[in-house]
Amino acid sequence: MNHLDERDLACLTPKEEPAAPVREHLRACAVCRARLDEIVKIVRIVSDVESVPARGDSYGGQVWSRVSRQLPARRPFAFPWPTFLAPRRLAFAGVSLLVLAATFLAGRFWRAERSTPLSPAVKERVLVVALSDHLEHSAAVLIELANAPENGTVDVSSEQARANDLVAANRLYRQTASQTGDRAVSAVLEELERVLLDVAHGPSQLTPADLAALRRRIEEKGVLFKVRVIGSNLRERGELPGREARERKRT
Amino acid sequence: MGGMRSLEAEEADAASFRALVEEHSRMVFRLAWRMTGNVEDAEDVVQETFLKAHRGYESFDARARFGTWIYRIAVNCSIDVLRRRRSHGVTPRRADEEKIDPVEAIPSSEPVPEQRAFAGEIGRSVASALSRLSERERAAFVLRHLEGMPIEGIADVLKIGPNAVKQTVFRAVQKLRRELAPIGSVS
Ligand SMILES: [Zn+2]
Repeated sequence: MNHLDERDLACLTPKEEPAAPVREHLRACAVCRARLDEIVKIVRIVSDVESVPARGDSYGGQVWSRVSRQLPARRPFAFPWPTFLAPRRLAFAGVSLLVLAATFLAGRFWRAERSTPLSPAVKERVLVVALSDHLEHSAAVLIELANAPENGTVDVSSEQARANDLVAANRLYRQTASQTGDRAVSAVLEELERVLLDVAHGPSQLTPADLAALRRRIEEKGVLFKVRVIGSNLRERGELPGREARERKRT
Repeated sequence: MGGMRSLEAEEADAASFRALVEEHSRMVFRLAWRMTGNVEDAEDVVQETFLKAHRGYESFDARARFGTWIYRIAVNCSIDVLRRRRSHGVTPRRADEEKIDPVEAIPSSEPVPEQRAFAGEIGRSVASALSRLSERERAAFVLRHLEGMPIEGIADVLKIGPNAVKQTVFRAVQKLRRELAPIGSVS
């Protein structure tokens, strides 16, 4: 009889069910069972004596106060933005939140389930999925802009059109987030919205200087980073691995 | 107006990064303590991990989970600390520092009930056995058997293939078995 690979045995843990053939082999083979017992005994000795010092609820705050003291000093307002990148006022006063919600959410995400009423939990999950998709799309636009070639004038009209589409959705999510008190999300969406608006309302032909300024803005504010982190956290919250989220997007 | 906006944006920066730090601090500490075996080093790792996270966002892959990314940084910081300690010839001290269980802090020479003294001795033996593992072996063992991470997750964190992970865990377990054999046969 071929015994189980010892490397596989060494990785077995009581917290995970072994594959069926492994289970069956262990049931039938005393040699492998004995080897596994040895391994389990060693792991137990180590885990029994370990006593990780407790860290209370306030620990995160303590770490933050230590870490924040060492972060680079915040910059004063000093970005040499070209005029087209200057912050603009939001221009959606006439658009009703409800109309946006109906067209955007119902059209994109609730179509399949329209006949059955949704529970609040499902609604929240749909929102989480939709928002995480939105963040992924937004990150893609920012990445394209950040990676655009720097020689000569660059045509960003396609990014511009997409940014324009994303602005309306972004505003909806931002308002939802601030209504539900999700401050971290709404803060990031607010920043994202400014960048998207600047792209959408700026010229479609960017000089190398325009592009460099835009890139600096994306980088210095860490917008892309924050968009990715929030997106990643949402996927974790919605228990949606990235792969599944992307597949969903394609369908 | 511009100044106001900028301040708001700075606030938003701080708020979102702060939320991440607060959410993951305890997890990073637990991992760092398991990797280094002492509080002082673990606290250093925690701090260094978040400073690196703040600096290194270019390397953050949108498809990765933030938790996994932070894990990777924390493991690498822990490995750095272990290497530094090794190169300075500093031996790890586990028994004489902050503990939940004060029993292990009692030197074995103290006249204490046999059972308790023995528990402390096991603690020191385990600490010493763990310190004899290579950094990568320790990381693989800790992630698999103490943190309960799937093999693929460990491969991702250590940037090696799944088979290499298994090989590394196997080597770690073998070494620990050799070191801890006397205890194993007693218990
Ligand atoms: Zn067998």
